[in-house]
Amino acid sequence: MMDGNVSGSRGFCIMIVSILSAGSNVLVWMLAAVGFAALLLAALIATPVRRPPELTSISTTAGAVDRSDMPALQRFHARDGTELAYRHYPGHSPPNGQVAIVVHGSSGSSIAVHALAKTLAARGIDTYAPDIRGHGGSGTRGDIGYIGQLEDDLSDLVAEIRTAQPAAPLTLIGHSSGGGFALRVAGSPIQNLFSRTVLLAPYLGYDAPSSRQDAGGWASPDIPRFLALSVLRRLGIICCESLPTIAFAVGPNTSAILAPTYSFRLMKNFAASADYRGDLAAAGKPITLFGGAADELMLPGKYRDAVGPRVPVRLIDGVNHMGIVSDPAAVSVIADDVAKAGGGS
Amino acid sequence: MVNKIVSVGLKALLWGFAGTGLASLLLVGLVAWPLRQPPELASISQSARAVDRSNMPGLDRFQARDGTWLAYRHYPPSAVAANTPVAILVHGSSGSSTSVHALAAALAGHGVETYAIDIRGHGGSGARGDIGHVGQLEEDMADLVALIRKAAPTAPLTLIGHSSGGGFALRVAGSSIQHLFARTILLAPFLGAFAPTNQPNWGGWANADIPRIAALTTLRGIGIDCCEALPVLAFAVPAHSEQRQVPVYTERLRSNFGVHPDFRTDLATASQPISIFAGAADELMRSDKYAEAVHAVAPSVIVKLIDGVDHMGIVNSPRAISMIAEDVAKFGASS
Repeated sequence: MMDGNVSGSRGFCIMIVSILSAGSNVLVWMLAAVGFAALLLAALIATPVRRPPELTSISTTAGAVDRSDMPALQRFHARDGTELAYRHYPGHSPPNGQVAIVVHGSSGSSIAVHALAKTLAARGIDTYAPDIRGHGGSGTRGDIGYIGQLEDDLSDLVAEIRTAQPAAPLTLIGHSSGGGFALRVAGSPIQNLFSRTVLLAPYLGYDAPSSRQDAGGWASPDIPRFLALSVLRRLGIICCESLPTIAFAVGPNTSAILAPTYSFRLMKNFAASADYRGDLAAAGKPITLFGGAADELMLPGKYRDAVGPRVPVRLIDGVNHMGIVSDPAAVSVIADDVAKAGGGS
Repeated sequence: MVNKIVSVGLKALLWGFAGTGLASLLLVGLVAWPLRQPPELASISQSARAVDRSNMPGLDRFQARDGTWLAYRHYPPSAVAANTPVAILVHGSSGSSTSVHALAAALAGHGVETYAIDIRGHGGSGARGDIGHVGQLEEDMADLVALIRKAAPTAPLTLIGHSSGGGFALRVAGSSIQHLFARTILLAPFLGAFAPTNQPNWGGWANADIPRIAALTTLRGIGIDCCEALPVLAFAVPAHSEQRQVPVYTERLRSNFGVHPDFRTDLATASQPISIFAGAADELMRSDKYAEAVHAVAPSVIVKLIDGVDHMGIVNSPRAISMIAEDVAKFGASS
């Protein structure tokens, strides 16, 4: 009886000790796994962004535009108090009754879409070309506050325009990354602010059929850092999204007009959603796509496959990536289309 | 033998990873600590609101070296003389050039050509409450001076800063760009979180996320500046005041817009003259402690207290601003 008791309590002690030691083993292994993951993420995040060499087709085409008649920047307060800049091109007489917002592409600003904005105004369309936050006269270069802020800014701009134009139908036009962003907006909760969306040589994401590798040499993404920050974001950790994750092939001494890099949060926000097909599926209003047949950053022949039958696709011969917003023939075709669509609505 | 070495090695690796894991979880826990907005501090909003701004000049803009547009207000002097003294005026935390309008106008009235800047992250400069990197505010300051030097190549330049802007002015006075300025004036300066000149709880003006700041400082110490765009400091601004005031600062703005962690290091490296003006009735600063705090390191600093003036009063009460403006004008004339 006595013996049995002793051996029973000894067994109990051994069991407790082994549970405790197994427990502490499990704890050590779990901490080790966390430590391993932390070091792996840190190593991925530490990979630096590399600046690609200048892509001269972009700078040359963009540089050829006559900007002597470009309107000055105007400014309004966004909801966070930051002053955002835009250029207003009042529609010429006779008024067409429509308003257009033209969004520039990556790294640029309203300057990049001047030729198109001017041509739209000449067709009687009241046109606004914003500097997207992180570009030109808006905010700090290459960064924003949080993913979703660009939609907030666009709503604030529409509210600003609506004080002067309470009822005119609004067309959202975006070029390149700005086209990706316009598609994101077309599929977002604020899509009903616009009656139509026009995508010009849009960048639909790295895995879209219409995208060349590294955008034809225009952009150099930091893929390890991008992946690590995406994982952290999935885990709800938005600690590090102001780190740069992509660099553009801008020329030297261009900081006055271009943003050379984007932070993770700007790169994610100023684009279509991770799968652009989700944006297309959620979009309730008409979308049209124009591309230059000679686009050196995109594969224009693949746009039809990429967006499917719902979106009319028009390719313009002999026009390259910047030409779609600056070539006289291209901007004239686009402006005619925007003017006509309004007449029918 | 080999087995033993391998097993000890693996064990060390396991414990090494476990230690890293524990440290990461601890840092994540500290960083996750939420920031709370303090209730409005009425003495600040009321005193600031009482200023007549009907004659305030509009914002002018220039491009900083990174291409970002920065805003400032230019107050031309009432009388233009040869080598008119020039002053750059820096507002306090959460405000903008609007906050120092009364003083800027008084300086111009005393013949001092005055530029009141919106520090990046405030007013019309950059995005609210954030900057790109620690040290960018000094770069912005040098860019503004370069702009002013085009019009006034040799005029003596005085840097004047209020509150956190006073802390930043002291940082500049001790920095590698200190020789851009002939003199620095600190108005009720905030000398850092642990300065003896702070009222308890910073007079209720700001809440700091201490655990987050500690974790981010640790990370920066080991060379990781991953997370400096997180908000760490919240101000007692009124509700719905986003158009005029900045409610929160990120870590990189907080740590750049002020003195270095110990203000004495800035004082020790400053070689040009420094004066401090403060209101004896300051509700955020223990102004009676300024002389003792700075003279231990820099006995040449001139400290003047003005009776009956509070924290915002030092940049907007008629008596205080005329005293300060006279002092700046006199120094300019004598140099």
